[in-house]
Amino acid sequence: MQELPASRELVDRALLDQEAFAELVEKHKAMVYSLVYNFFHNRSIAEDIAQDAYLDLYRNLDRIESDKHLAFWLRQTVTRKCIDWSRRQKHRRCQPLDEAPEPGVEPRERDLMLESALAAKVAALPEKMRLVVILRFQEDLKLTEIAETLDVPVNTVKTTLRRALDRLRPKVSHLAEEARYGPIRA
Amino acid sequence: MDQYELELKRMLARREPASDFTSRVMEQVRRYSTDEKREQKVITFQARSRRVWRWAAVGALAASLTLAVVVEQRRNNRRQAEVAEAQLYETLMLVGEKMNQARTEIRRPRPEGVVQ
Repeated sequence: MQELPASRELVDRALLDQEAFAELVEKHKAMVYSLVYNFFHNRSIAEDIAQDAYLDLYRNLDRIESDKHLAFWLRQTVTRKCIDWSRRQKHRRCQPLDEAPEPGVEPRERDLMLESALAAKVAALPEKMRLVVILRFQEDLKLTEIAETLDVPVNTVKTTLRRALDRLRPKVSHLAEEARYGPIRA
Repeated sequence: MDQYELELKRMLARREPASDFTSRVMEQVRRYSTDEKREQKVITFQARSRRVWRWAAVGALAASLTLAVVVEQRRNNRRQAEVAEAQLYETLMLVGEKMNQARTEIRRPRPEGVVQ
């Protein structure tokens, strides 16, 4: 993951002019959108929450200390929004997985069946566990950074990640087969 | 990082939102800015009218206090004047009585040979 310079240049410009803010949106949109998308696997929810996060950012722009802090702030806001939204949805009993194909740019050729099976397994993880996995594997964050983002102790992150991987590991080994031959019965 | 972790990483790779995402965000931001300015105007107007009402209330209170003090002072003055008038009247009555006594005394016929 690329390190952002510890300056406020972009934030300062965004405070004065909306075009600079648009630049800032453009710069972080993949990160913000993907965090939500990987959490819900729903395009419209991902865009709604991402837009909401950016509106929050616009309201709180003067509290951002540096461009690096901006990325941290966005990640933290988005993860909180994911949990809030998910909790609200539990009451509404809504189906979170989106059946529509993702229109975003695909970085490389993918095994879509395997991916959707894996996505379903990740989606079945508890909220915090899912967030830890997403922050670790999507954002390549260190455990300390994940701990800061989720506002939990590092040891909790370590344990949560290990448990998440333990939950996924046996499942993942069968995923390719499941994707090819259907669910494997024990 | 083993095979399944790489698979996870690939599955969770960043992806781009729809191409009009930024413009939709900016539309929301613009709408928010306009609403905020309007709200700011309303708040400013309310704050100003609140200030005016506050000063008006303070002014009315000060005026009524001043009026009350003036009225009370006048009433006090009148009461003191009445008391003074009554005292003066009483004093004049006493003086008049004494004068009458003195005149009666002077006019009374004295026996012969009495020297005062």
